[in-house]
This record gives sequence, structure tokens and C-alpha cells, in this order.
Amino acid sequence: MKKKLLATVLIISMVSCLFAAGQAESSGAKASVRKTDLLLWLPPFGSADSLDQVFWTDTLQPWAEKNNVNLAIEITPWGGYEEKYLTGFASGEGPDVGYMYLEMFNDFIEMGTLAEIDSYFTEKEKQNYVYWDKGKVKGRQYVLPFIVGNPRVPFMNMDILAKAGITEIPVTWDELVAATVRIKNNVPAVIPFAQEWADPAIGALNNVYYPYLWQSGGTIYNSDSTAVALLDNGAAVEAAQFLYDLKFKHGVISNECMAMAGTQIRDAFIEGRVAIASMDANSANALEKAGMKNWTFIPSFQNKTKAIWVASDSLIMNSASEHKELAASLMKYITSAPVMTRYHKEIASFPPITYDEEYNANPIFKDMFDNDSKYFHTLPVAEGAFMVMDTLYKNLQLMMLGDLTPEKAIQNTVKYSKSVISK
Amino acid sequence: MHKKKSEMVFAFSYILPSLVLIMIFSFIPIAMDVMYSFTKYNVIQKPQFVGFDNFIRMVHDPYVWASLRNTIVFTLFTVPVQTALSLFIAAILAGKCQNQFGNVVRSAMFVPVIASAVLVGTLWSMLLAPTGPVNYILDLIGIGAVNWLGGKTTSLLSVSMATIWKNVGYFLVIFYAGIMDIPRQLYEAAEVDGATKLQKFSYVTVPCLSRITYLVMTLGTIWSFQVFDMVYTMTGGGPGLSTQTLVLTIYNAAFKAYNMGYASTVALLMFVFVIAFQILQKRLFGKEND
Repeated sequence: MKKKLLATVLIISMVSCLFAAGQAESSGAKASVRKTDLLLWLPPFGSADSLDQVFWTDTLQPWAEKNNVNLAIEITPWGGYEEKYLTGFASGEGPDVGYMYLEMFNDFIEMGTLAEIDSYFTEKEKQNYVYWDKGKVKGRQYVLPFIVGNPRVPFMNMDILAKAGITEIPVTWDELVAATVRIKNNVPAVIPFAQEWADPAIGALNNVYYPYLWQSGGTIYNSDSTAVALLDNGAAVEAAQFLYDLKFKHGVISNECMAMAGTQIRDAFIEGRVAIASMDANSANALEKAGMKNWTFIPSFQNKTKAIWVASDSLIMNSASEHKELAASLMKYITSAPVMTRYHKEIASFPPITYDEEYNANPIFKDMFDNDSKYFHTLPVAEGAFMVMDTLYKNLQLMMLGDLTPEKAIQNTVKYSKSVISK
Repeated sequence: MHKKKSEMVFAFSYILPSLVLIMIFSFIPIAMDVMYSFTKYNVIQKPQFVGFDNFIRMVHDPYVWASLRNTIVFTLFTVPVQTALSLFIAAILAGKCQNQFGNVVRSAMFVPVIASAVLVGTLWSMLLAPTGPVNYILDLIGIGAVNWLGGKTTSLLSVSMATIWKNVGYFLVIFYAGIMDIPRQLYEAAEVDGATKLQKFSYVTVPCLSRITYLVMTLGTIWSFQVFDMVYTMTGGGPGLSTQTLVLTIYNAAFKAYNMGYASTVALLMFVFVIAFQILQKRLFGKEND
């Protein structure tokens, strides 16, 4: 009997505690009910995910407090990036504000997941953004350019060039051929011209092919992005032929390049095993960190024109967001000069995106951003872009392995593209 | 009659929980896959019925046929090698190393199993790099560097090697447990008959492990058909389409081209081939294990 009584008392006290705790929680919830929930997804640009998380949490806290927002920040890793956005939006758990790269825009706009942001910005605010117009996709302002930079540029090891007796930096395609042949003959232990043909990511094309395509006057898609334009003029084949000749006619792209990924090219360049290689501008930091001194870069080689691949990633607003005004306010705060100055100094060295921010990226590239931005090219926003670029990369790989001619590689790509782009 | 009916209801109630789970996690997804394969669908908007368009596209898609061929070649190479290797190592460990050293070896070989495939892929990409340790050793012994990941013939082999290295530890543990279950008397009888070590292995160990071997081969086949992370990390399907696998093609269609309808169609093809492979395997090895 005593046991039963004790058990009853215990149960009653436990239930009372639980009830009391529940009450306390709900009264706490009532206190914070006025706070608006907002979700922000940003990618990792710092040296570790935690670095970005700490930076953004610390930086955006004043804005969240001022606007009475319960701001959740998630750093979404690059692996399976599109997958996360797709499933996030599909499940209604997508971010109010997120970060997308160019290749994602077309499909997510077609799906109706991105909100038009034009009406949330005043004319004065728009004019302060250097690349506001680059956010205009399909005639409408769907995205706010956030990172425009990290161009792919040719780096040169000046010690190797000097050893080969080269005094003038090669700029034109002919000069490049002459210089690399000279390096091959005079400094046989190095790779005269390195390219990452075994990189698993199609982003390798930003280094190994697109600049040459654009330098020849070609484009990937036609002007209204409705069809692949690689066969519309001879530029695509000319660019492919140029690379093919560098490997098979002049022998300056070594077989080793067929086994190398982008990071291995950079490592080999730092080790002094590569004379000339196209790499992302951020590689300059790695070269400086490694203590490499005698190197230089040029913005672009030149054929018919110059051309430089440049990233154009943007902030987006979820069309399903219930707090679009707040989301727009957050986008403005993130891209404001004080926040971007800190971001470019502490997390990722990119050029300014607003006119009121000073240049905080690597000073050696300042002149290029000031004077050569007219040569900047971004990837097309078009239907089927991933599959077109993937098949282009794979066909060019086969060409560089000697299995396809340049004409055939481009023809195969165009033929395949017709099956992935709707009529 | 009434009794028989109540017995049936009683029996059905026993299998109901399993039936519900199988329906939810197997039959319904398969049915949905079949349904979506006739649509254009991006997960966010409503699916649009497109008839047999996806199937027609699949028939003409070089990615699909290359990935099917690669997946089959990968399976035919990986499954026998990893099965034989894990059986061989398990037999050695069970025969010679039933001690602390054997435990350490088994644990060490199990580490790749619990490591993520992306990590294993990255590790092997470094090992097989042009100036990596593998090529360094090949250079030392005079063979010369091999283009492991960038060569058309070597890239699939490289992915297979990495996969075998990852899987062997798992199958090794299964084989080891199986060998430990074989009655000692069989070995003693073989010894009395004057059997050599090789004969004992061939006529006692291997036949006694036939059920386990069948299980290992079945699991290995299914895993091989599912290979994705390793390829995604090491080669991205290249060079050309030389390491493009079915799951990579499905993934790209679903999450890079946002075309779940087409991805479902290719998944259906894969489903048919896995079933066909299983039937073939059952016919070849399964009868004695029934």
C-alpha cells in the first residue's frame, strides 16, 4: 500500500513538473512571438565552415536585433549544392535569402522559386551596385550580384621564362605558342603549358576552354539562350584546334596534364614544375603564402579579342518567403560597404560590389578590375546548361586524349545539346 | 469454413506490419518511379505527362548506354575480385592469425568500410595522382608513371580498385565469421585423408561458405550498381564517358538538370538490369543455396 502511495505521489509530482515546464516554455515563446523567423543560406568561402558561420553570426547580429528577427544562418557546403536548394524549396524549407551561382538561375527561375527583387530597391540603391544589371535574367531582376570576381587568368613563372630566354611576356596566341615551344626546348624538365584535363568538375572548362572560345569570338549559347551556338561560327572549333595543336602539334601540353586536377596544377606551379598555367585569381594568395616570388600574370591571352572568365554569383530571395521586405533589407545589409569590407578582408578576397566600398581584394589585380572588366565573360543562363557543358567537357577530354578531332568534339556537343533543350 | 477464414485473418495480421513497411518503402517508390518516368517533373512544379518521350530520349542518349556498359564492366570486375580477396584474407586470418595481430588486421581493414566514400575517393585521387605515391613506386621499379584517373582504360580500373579497398573489410568480416562456424571435424577428417592446405580450402572451406559467398556476391552486385560517390569524387564520369555510371547519370539528370522524370526513366532501366542480374546470379549460384 505504501509503495502504491509513493508511486502515485511520484507520478503526480512528475506530471506537475512537466506541466509547469510546458507552461514556462509557452510563456517564454509568447515573449519572443513577435520576433520574425528568417532563414539565410550562404556557402563556405572561409578556410572552414565554422569561420563563415562565426563571421556571419557576428556580423548580422546587429541587423537581426534592430529588426527583431530570429535569424537562422546555415552555411551550405558546396557538395550537392543544387540538391540542397531543390529539396529545400520543394519541401517548403528553403531559405528566405540564399546564394546561387549562375548555372542555377535559369532552372530555379523557371520553377518559380526566385522572387523579383527590383521593387524592393530604390533607384539610389540600385545605382550604388557596380553589377546591378548583371542580376537581370530573362529581362527581370531576379538576383543581386554578390561575388563578381575570381577571374581565371594565365599565371607565369618568370624564373622558367628567363631560363628559356624569354624576355617578353606572351600575350597573343602565336606568342604563347612560340614561348611554350621555346620553354619545351630549353627547360625540358617543366610543363610548358599546364591544363587540368582530369579535373572531375566541369568548372575546369572555365580555365581550359571558355576563355579561348570567347577570345576567338565564339559563344556557348546564342544571344537569346535558346540554342547552343558552338557551330554558329568557326570560333569553337578554332579554340579547340588551338588546344589540340598545343598538345599534339607543339607538344607543350604534356601527357601529365591529362591526369591532373586544378589543385595539382597549382601545386605543380608552386613547386616550379609549370611555366604557364591558367588559374583562378585567388591562387595568387596561395602562391604568396608558399613564398613564391618571381611570378606574374596577364589578364588574358589574345586571339581576335581578349576574354576573361569571371564568377558572377548572387543573392536570391525565395518567392515563397513570407517576409520579403525583411529579406530585401537583409540582402541590403549583407551587401552594404561596411559588411562587405569586413567580408573581403577577413573571409574572401573579392573586388567590391558597391561603389562605396574600397578595393579590398589582392592589390595586384586592381588594375585588371579597373581597366579590363570589359573583357569579363560569365557563363550563360540557359536551359540545359549543365548537360551541355558536361558533354562539351567530356568531348574535349576525348579530343585531348587523341580520340576525337576538334570538329568532331564540337559537333558531338551540339548534336547532344539538341536532345536536352526543348524545341 | 469460418475457422479457415479466421485463421487466414490471424495469419495476415502477422505479416501485416512487414507488408506495410515493404509497401511504403519498396512498392510505392517503384510505382512512383514508373509513374514519373512518363512525365517531365522538377519536384517543385506539377509533373507534366510526356508519354514515351523520356524512353525515346533514353534510347538515343549516349550517356545512358555508356553508363550502363561501365556499370556492368565495373560490376563484373569488382564483385569477383573483392569476393575472392576477402575470402582469401579471411581464410588466412582464420587459419594463421587467431590472435591479437589478427584482430588488429581485421579492425584495420574495416576502417575504410566506415569511412565515407567521398573521403576514400579523395584519398585514392591523391594516391593515384601523377606525382602521387603509387606512380612514385612504379617509377622506382622501372614501370613508369601511369595516367590512372585521366586515361580511358585506367580510370574505371582506378575507381574499381578504390571500391574494392573500401569493401573488402566488410566482406572479410562476414567470411571470417562463416569460416569460424565450419565444424572442425571436417578439417580433421580431411587431414586424416591426407588433404593438403589448398585441398582443405578448396574442398572444405569454399563449399561450406557457398551460402555466404552467394550473399557476398549479391550484396557486392547491388553495391556495384549503386556506385556513385567514388566516381563523383575521383573522375566526375570522365575522361569522356569512360567512368560514367548509371547512378551518376541519374543524379545528374535529377539534381543538375532538374529533370526527375528522365532520372526516373533511367532509374527504371537500372532497376530492370539489377533484377536481371539477380535472376542470372540466382540461376548460376543460387540453386544449391535454396
